[in-house]
Formats: sequence, C-alpha cells, structure tokens
Amino acid sequence: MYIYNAIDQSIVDARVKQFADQTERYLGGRISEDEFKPLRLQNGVYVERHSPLLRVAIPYGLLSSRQLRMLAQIGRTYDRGFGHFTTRQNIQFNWVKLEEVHKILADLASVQMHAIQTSGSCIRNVTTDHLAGVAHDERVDPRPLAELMRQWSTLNPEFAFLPRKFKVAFNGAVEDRAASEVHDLAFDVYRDEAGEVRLTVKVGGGQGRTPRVAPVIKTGLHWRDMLSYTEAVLRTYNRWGRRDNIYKARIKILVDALGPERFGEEVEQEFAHLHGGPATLAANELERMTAFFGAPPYQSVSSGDQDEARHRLADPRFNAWVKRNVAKHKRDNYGAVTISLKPLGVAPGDATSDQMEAIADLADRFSFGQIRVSHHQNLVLADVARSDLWALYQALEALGLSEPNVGLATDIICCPGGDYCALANAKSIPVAAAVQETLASKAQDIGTLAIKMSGCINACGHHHVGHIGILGVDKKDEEWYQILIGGRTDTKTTLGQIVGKAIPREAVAPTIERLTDFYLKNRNNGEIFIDAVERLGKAAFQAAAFQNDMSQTSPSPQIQEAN
Amino acid sequence: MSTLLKLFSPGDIRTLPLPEGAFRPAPAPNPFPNMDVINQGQGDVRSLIRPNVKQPEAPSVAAWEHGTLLTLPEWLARDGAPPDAAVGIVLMPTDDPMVLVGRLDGLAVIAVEFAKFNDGRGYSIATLLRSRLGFKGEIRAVGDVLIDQLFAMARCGMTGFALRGDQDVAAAKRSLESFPAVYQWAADERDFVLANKTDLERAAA
Repeated sequence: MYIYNAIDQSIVDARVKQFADQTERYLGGRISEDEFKPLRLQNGVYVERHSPLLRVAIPYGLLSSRQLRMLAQIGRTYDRGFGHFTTRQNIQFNWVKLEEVHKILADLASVQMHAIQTSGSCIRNVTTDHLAGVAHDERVDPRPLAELMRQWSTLNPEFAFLPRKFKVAFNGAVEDRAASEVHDLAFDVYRDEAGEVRLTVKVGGGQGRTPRVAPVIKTGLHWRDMLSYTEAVLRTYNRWGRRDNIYKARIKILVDALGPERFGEEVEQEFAHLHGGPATLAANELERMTAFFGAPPYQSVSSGDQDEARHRLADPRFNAWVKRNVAKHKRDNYGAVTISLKPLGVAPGDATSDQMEAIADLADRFSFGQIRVSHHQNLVLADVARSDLWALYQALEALGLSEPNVGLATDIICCPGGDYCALANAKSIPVAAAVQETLASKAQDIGTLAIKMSGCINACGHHHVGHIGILGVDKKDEEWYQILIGGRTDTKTTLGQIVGKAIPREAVAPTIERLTDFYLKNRNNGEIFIDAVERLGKAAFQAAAFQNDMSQTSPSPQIQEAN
Repeated sequence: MSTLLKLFSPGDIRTLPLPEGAFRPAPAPNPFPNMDVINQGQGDVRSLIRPNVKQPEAPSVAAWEHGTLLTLPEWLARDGAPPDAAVGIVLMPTDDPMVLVGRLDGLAVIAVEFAKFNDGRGYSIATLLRSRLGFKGEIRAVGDVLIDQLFAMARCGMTGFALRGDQDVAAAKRSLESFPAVYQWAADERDFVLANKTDLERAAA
C-alpha cells in the first residue's frame, strides 16, 4: 500500500495543527458558526442529531493492520467502543466531542491517516473496487491512479468550494464493484493494444434527488493526462455549476442541462489549454506508484485444497461461508475473504473496537497485514491462502464474525438513518434489522440479492441501485417507506424504480418477503433475483407484493397502522 | 480601517492600511458557540435547510486605495486606449475573465469578489487571470476575505487580500504559510509534489 514520505507526513501534520487552531478560534468566538462549518466539514466533522460525528478517510478502502488498530483505539478512547464503516469505504465515529477532534486527527496522522475532505463541497475521498489488485477479472489495478488522484485532490486550492460535493471512483475490472457509474466522476481503466494504460471518463452520475447513470464524455484518455483532464472537468463545473439552489448544484444537473455532448465539448476546450501542461504526470509516475501496490509474497504451492473440500463436506455452514464470503482470487490457491459486518442484531457496517483489533490480528496472520473496506460496509481480507480458510473461518466464528451472508438478502447496505442522522426522514437500522430477521431463514435459498436502504432522498444507502431498494420518506411528520426494484451496478448500471405506494415501517419486511417469495416460486434454474425481475417485469413483482393494497386509495397512516 | 495584505513573494508579505469602502466591514460580533448544542447534537435539521441560495448582485467594495473600482462592463465600455492613471476593476463571480483577452493594458488591480466566502468561483477566475491570460498585476480578493481561505487564494494566484474588517492581521499572515508543501500545480507556480519529474530530478529536489 502507499507509504507516506516526509512530505506527505508534513502536509497531514500541518493540517492537524491548522484544525486545532481553527477549533480554538471558533471556541473563542473568533470564527462564526457559518464560517466554521465548512472548515469542520472538510475535516470530517458533522454535527448530527445527538452528537458530533467524525468521518475518517480510508483512501480507496485500503487499511493496514496498524491503522485498523488505531481506529479501534480511537473508537475506545473517543467514542463508545465502536465505529461505523460507510458506503464510501470510510469509517465514522458517531459520538465524538468537537473539542477533542484535533486530538483524534493527531492520532490518525501518527498512522498516516486523516479526515481531510471527507465532507463539504469539495473533492471527497476516492473510492474503488475492494478487490483491486486481486480480482480475477481485473484489467488494470486502479489503486496507483486512485492514490495519484487522492494526492492531487488533497487541499486542492481551486476546488475547495465547489457548488456541491464531488465524488470520484475508479474501476479497473470487468465487473464494476465500485458502483462507479453513480459517481460524479468515474474512470474506467484499461490497457490499449500497445499496452498503454488509458481511461474512459464518465461524468454526472449520482443518486439522491436526481439519480443518474454517468454518461461517457471521453474515451482513450492517456493516464498521464488524468489530472489535467480532471482539472478541466472541475473548472468547468466550478464556474458553471448551479449555486442558486443546493438541490440542483451537483454536476449531474449541469451535465443534464447542457447534455453530455455539449458538456464534454466545454471540458475539451478547457483541456486543450491544459493538455501537456504542468499537471501532466511524469512518464515514470505510474510505475513509481504501482510499486507501492505490488503483490505480497504469495506461496506458490497449495497444500490444503483437500482440507478445504473435506471441511466443506463435513460442515455445511463452512461450505456456505466459502461459497458466499470467499471471492475468486487471481491466484487459484488464494481467496479474497469478506468478513460480514451484517450479523443479525447489529447495525450494518458497525464494528466494535474489540472486533477491529481481532480482525487486525487475523489480517497479520492470514492476509499480509492488510484489510479493505468494501462499499457494502464489510471488511475484506483479500489475500488468504485457501489452505488457511478453515483456520480463518474458525477464528472468525469464535469472534461472531463468520456470518456466511455476503451478497445475500441479509447483507443489507444501510445508512445510519434517523437514529443518528440529522437529515433523515426515517429510521433505517430497525428496518434493516426487521428485513434481516424475516429473510434470515430463506436467505441461502434466495441467493444473491442486494437490498439497500436509505433513510432519506440523499441515498447514502444506495437504494437506487439495490436489486431491492428501500427509501424512508416523510409524510405529514410520519415515517413511511417506498420500495424500489430493479437497480443494479454489477456490469450495467441500472436505476431501480418505485413500485407500489409508500408503506409503514412494519409493512416493509412482509412486503419484501412477498417479493422474494414470488421470486422463489417463479425463478428459473440458476437465475438470481435481479435477472428474474428483468425477465418477468417489475409489474409482476409489484402485483405480487402489493396485492392487498391494489384496491385501496391513499390509506391514512392511522388506518394502515391499525391493519 | 482594515488591512491589505500584499504577497510579493513567498514569505514576503507586507501590510497596507485600507480606506473605508475598500474592504467589507466587520459583521456583528459572534456569539460564543453553544457547546451543549454542538456536543449533544442538533436534532433534526431538515427544516433549517434553505434550498435557494441568494446570489450576489453588486460588489461588496467600491474602491481601492487609488480610487474607485470599475465593474467589468464599465471597463469594457471604454474605448480600449490605455488609461492615463492606473485602473482597478472588480470581477463578480458570474463574470467571465476570458473577455479580458487583449484588454489588460493599464489595469493595476483586478479585484475578485467573494460575496460569500464559500462561493468558489473566484478561485477559478483568479487561476484563469494568472495562468491563462498572464495578468501580471495584483489580483485582489475582496469581500468575505477570511483568514482560513488565504492559503488557497494565494495558491490560485491572488496576491492582495483586502481582509474583512474583523480579521486578525497576524493570524492572516501566519495562515499564508499553513502548509510546508503542496501536491498539485496551481497558478502561484509554487513547486509541487506531483510535478512532471523524473526519479533523478525527484532525488535531487
């Protein structure tokens, strides 16, 4: 992974000092509330419903065991002994005190971490495939480019006050595991016939109020021009993006208004001035950066394959775990193991400090001391020898972390919702818990099913791209839920559509169960839920799930609840 | 009175008194933050969101130390002959600096309006003035010119900072040196980490 040099460290250290000074001036009444807000946001601090929250950047989701131990320690010292992994591969501490944040930032800096630009109207933490570097279907490892983008965007002076937030994602594989097409700026990385690394550039994707799949505006961009081109995109957005209405300020609205072609021309005109200029990356830069992400010292001989097979036969739960939680690795004798943070009864993405420390130890023992955070809010040990799978599984089982549900209906992506978030229309965590509980016994049978839940239109829980999405809405100060089906991001990004009327909280799990029952009854052999939706049509699923409501018109909440 | 910080070169910062009208006056004093509200959360904030943000109509300053500031239309309406005395103009966030191509002669100061400190268009305007148009005079931030944005402003090629009336001059000077190094190219042409360098050049640097 990338290791800071003295310059990187000096920048992060200076940032800690700067924020300590800003906090002191704020507490002394010398910076107003409004003027302090973006300063704290750009250091990851929100003030939520019950407490300030600190969001820490985990660049492209990659952590060392030492860093994870520090996160555990921070959770214990400054929070309530846990942290929450987010859908953008970051971690949040939900219960911090504002005056202590600069101390947390100093602790983070001591392990080469920071919270820079994890919030605010600026370029946010860069994300990518959690299987980068080990995926069997990978064209190019995107992490070296993602790190270059991280450095370029860090404290970028021109783009610190954009119209709105700006999220960048990289995908270097056949299957897009980074949901890149629902980002403000997405790069598809590939090699041309001559072996040169090039990029396809997509702009203006996103979820929230106006969900959009990002259209392509540039193909064949040479990697050395990546930063110049990004500068052109951002300057175009910074100058012409709407600032009169915060709901229309994301770049997707500008791309929509101009049309992708015209927007692309604007960018191209700007790029013409920048092409070959000072932001051009040096010819050896990719090689230099790639060296940080080299393969670990893999063992070449596999000895435990028979062990794996024997244990799978003997232990059906281990068998299910290998099937669901171990992804194919580019090396046959290795597997990428996902540790599900979605056992029943736990808020999706939460991990206690004790668990983080235990996982750090397992990473040292089984996976070269590295951990990845997936945007599904799980942790990944990406380089586990298949001969170690049984031992790792047993260790995880002892920790209560062996839930064999990756990619299943109980592996729900879920935002913090109304329990924490000051913007939420509705609670998310109890809804996700009810769905998990209802589907737990059938989840293995149902198979692959991505359920994604957001407590409001801002879509932190990615409900637009769930095979089944759940969206919390506010109706006359009451919590209601809208169901969407048909979204996906794997190979072709598709946005889900709302089916049926909004329903009260207690109706969510039964409604989703009717959707999955309909699927179980009608599926073809080997057909996953989302493919069945595409074959049978959303209307058929809607009719099955909402049959009881078909004849009713806008029931009042009271009547609905009485039912 | 307020102060103009002038950045001549890195580390060479001078101060100059500014007359009324050449800076935005101090707003009312801040109340001390209510730590109960902060550390115990602010509850449901949905009703506090104002979707429509008011856009600036007029510049927040009308003058510089040598006279009035012209607006961009006023400057462009002139016949194009170089003026007798040095002229200062002010650009609004919606102004396109590229219309100044061929019209920079005689301009001593181009003020960039920060009607609100968090309107980032001024950073791109200054960048274009400096790097695309090659303007050599003073690019001056006016309006909500606050300590905590000066470093970024200077990086985008701004060299004059008409501090808002309440800003502390010593802290402002310090903030221009907030970071010992920078990653990316910007209009100040400062050395940067991601420069197009070979390994040899890197090692020598």
